[in-house]
Amino acid sequence: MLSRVAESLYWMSRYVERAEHTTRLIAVKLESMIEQTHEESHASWRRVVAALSAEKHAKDAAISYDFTNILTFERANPSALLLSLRNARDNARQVREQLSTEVWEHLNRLYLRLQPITIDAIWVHHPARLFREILEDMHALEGVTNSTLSHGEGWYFLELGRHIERAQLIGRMLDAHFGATQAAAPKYFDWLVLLKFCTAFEPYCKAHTAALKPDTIAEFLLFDAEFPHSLRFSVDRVCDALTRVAPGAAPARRAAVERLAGRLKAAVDFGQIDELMGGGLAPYLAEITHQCEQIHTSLYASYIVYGAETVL
Amino acid sequence: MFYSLRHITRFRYSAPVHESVMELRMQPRSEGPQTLRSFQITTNPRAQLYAYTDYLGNAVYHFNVLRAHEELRIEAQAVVEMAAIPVLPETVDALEWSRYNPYNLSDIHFDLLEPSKFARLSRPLAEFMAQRGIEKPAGDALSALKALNRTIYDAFDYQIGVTEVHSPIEQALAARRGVCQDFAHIMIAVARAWGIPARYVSGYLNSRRRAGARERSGEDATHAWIEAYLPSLGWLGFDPTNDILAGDRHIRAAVGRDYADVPPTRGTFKGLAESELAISVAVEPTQAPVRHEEFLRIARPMKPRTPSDLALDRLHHQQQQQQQQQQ
Amino acid sequence: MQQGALADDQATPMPRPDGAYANYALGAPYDEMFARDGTVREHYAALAERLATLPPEELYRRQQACELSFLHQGITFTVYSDAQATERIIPTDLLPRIVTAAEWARIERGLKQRIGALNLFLRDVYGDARVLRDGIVPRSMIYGSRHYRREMRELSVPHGAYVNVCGSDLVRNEAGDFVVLEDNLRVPSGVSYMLANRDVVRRAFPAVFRRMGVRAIEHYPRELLTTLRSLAPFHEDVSIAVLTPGVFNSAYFEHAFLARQMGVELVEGRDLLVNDNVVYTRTTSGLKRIDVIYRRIDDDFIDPLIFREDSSLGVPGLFNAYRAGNVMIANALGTGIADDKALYAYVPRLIRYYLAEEPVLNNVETFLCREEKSLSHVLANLDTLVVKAVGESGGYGMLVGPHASRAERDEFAQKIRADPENYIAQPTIQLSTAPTFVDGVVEPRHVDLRPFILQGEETVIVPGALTRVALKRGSLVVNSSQGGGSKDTWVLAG
Repeated sequence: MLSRVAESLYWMSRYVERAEHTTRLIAVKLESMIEQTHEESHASWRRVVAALSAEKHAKDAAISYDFTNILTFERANPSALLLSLRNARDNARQVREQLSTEVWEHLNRLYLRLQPITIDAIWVHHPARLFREILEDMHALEGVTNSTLSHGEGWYFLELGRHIERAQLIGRMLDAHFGATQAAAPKYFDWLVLLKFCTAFEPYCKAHTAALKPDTIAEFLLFDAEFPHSLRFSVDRVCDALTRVAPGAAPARRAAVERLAGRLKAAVDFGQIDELMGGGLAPYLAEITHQCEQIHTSLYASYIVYGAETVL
Repeated sequence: MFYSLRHITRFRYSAPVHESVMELRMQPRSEGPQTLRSFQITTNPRAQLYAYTDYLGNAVYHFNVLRAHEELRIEAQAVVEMAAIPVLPETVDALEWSRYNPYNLSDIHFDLLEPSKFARLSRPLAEFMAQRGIEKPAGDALSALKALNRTIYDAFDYQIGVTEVHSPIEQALAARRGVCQDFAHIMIAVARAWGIPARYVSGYLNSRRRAGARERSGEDATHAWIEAYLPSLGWLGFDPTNDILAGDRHIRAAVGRDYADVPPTRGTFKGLAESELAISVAVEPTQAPVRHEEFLRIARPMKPRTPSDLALDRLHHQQQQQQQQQQ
Repeated sequence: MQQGALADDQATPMPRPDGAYANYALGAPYDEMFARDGTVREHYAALAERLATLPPEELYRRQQACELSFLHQGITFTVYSDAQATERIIPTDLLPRIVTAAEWARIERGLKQRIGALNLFLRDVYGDARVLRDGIVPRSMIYGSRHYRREMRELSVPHGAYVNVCGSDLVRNEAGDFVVLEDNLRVPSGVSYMLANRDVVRRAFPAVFRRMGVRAIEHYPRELLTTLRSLAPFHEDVSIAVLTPGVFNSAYFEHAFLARQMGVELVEGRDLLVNDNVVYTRTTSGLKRIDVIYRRIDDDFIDPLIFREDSSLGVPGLFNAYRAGNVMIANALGTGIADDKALYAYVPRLIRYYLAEEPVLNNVETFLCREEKSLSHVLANLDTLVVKAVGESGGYGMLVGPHASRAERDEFAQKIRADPENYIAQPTIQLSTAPTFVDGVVEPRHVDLRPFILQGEETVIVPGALTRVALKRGSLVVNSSQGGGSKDTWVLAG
């Protein structure tokens, strides 16, 4: 597969994942507002902003309208939903031929649907609905991606993009809830919202009943092997995908990136929640994020922008 | 007499670049009074050199460097033997003008009558020609060219920095200043307007600075002058920068329609970086060289002619035969 | 095709028993379906019969289905009107244009002869230039042309084939003869529409299609692949790539389509690099050598080391790899010298010169303003001629005499006098018309014909063509950018 094609697939997938995550957070946040006081709601928005790394752009945001606008439409905010979708679509357009018609049309429609909308147009009546609908579309997009594309090298680059992005997003989400930077400590309702942010409420309850304990929640989101939005699940997908891409690459080139992935997997496989909860979580999450970045860099160096002289 | 020549080119980049690709036209030609005795190119970073001869007979070397580098240095060394230049007549006869006809000119000459990228007639040039009274050549072709050589010398000051390597002649015409490249392009454009095939010569000059000398070109640089075709004498070199005929101190490296055909280096690289070019040239009279080298490394030998070439030959042969039968 | 629009005022409506043809006005132009007396030509009989049984609503439904199919497949071109680039389909007309076996045989013979002569001409101008010395073509036309690539001098190309893919535009004049209007020898496009049209139109008329014995064209991608393979100096494991300017090019769909149909890689310049005179693509698994490039990029942009320095579409060092014979490029560089509007006028002379044959297909009569006799004729008859600037395309720098005002003509005459070498003139030709489904009824519309010729080791013409149709009533402009559509072209077996 051409390196350029692999790169576009990888980024398309990262942006789709980011867009889905952003959509979900906004939808859950808007839906949960009615049960929160103004102060609670504001603290909760701040956590959403932190989870989406949009602190700089949401500095002056005061009300839900502002937050929603900045996280969805603000052009200066590089993690705004609309920009993520546009970037996903632009990357898909570059490799239109590598995608199925269904995947392309789905993504294209999704972008074209959101593109003309303004905050004022959705704010008058039940703004959460739009985000719910977009979220459904995003799930459908994931479905057609899995069911209409051959699971060959290209598909595994999509997997890499999706799960490297997801692993980092989970890390930031946990940091926003367990880290020291937040203004107010989360309350019971906030833990419930956290699970909903991660589509984890029902799976969590199945595994651990509805008793919401912060430690158990953190453990579930970090280490559960079966839940698709857990850190561990994503890390396993990344490790698996790495063995499937670049089938003809020399072993030495593969070794660099696979070693980093193996290290990350070990860090997750042997992570113990009781060791982390006593103040160890923040450095652990920082380390995970750092390792994800290293895998990204190494992936690029091995398969995308490698020096041509190294492979002759 | 022998000249030893050293031409160093150095590119420096503000950040590491990679995949540099470069073409060089700096091997002195071996023809006429000039014979190339040795030639060598070294590059740093090292690279495999390839060479070909372009349609104008210039030796072109090219190479690429894949790995990241912040500097690229090219050093060319040559030894050239220069025989005595035959003495030219002062004038040619008036009939010379009528010899510019298809019997005396070949395709290569006709090509050098057409305007090219840098040497073309424009309104500012036409005004310059009118002003200097050179719209039409005066006298025989040789005298007219010599007069043109002097006219350009007189009309322009030699000054570096007024024009750049890609400047059109209008810039020098407006400033009445420029360097050898500008003067050569102007002279070529005028000669072609007169119907004289003219070409650009890139090369080196062993300059001789003496008190009261009229020579203006810089000492440590490449030089450029022109050649004009006279049917009875062949290609003659004129150096409008110095108001002299090209002689045994002019070492020819490449010829072309204008500068665009014969830059000493032309290259591209990948990477976000600014580049800086430094050049050093030394031309010195020297002793006879000791050895003779094989210069061109052939990237691929000549291909056997294809059947369709033969068909074309046969076709022409048959057509000619038929014409003979008709006569 | 840039003839400008002419109204058919002289057209007389023919009374027709059949409702579908109620508005079908036959005029001066040759009509593909109806003879002058209003009877259906024999080779259209089967189609006419079928159409007579189809209610207009059904025809409309099939037309809609066909357009939707194009949109969904993404068979679109991109229009950059403002900042928003929109994707549009080229409208496909459901009613096929039918060419008889005898007509096709002549077209095929004529085009093979023509491309043969043009390739010999290119071999000659980049070689010994005898055609110039013999005074057949004026030297200044070659040496003064920006399409003449001196870098190609004395290089040989495989099988002497400079033009490997050619798309020639033919039109049928009032007398019913096919004449050549233009040769496209650089990067001709449109073949994907030929194939896509067949796909949908065959489905719309399956029974008629079978019954009439329409010749197949589906093997075009295979023939193109064979042609490209034949350019490689060896014959096993030839690695081929289609080089596209990228996703923003209006013909990107076609590039991707052909790459996919041939099963070869679709690459952009930035995917390629040259090392030690060998061309590679950068893949996730390492560098992969490329032997043959079907390029859809103009000469100027193909190698920034040799041609336009500012090109980012090209590959630095590609030309030297080509010169060394390590990669083959189709079409060869410098073919543009032979499809120049002025050179066009010389093609019949070139056929006689190189092949000692009379042209099978004629040119449209062309006056070269560089020739004094023609110049005075052109200036005296500006009101009936179409004048074109040699270096321009897409309808720029053009005067359509019959449509221009006196002032416009006078102004243009000035331009011609100032630079006669830059202009040619042709009489306005009434292109033939073919039945076309417009707004629920069948009406005559002007059409041209672009067959595609492949030349490698062999010369092959797939029996089909892109028929372009001017959808506006009376218009002679078939360009897709100016309201043109296309039709499937049925070449009959015999």
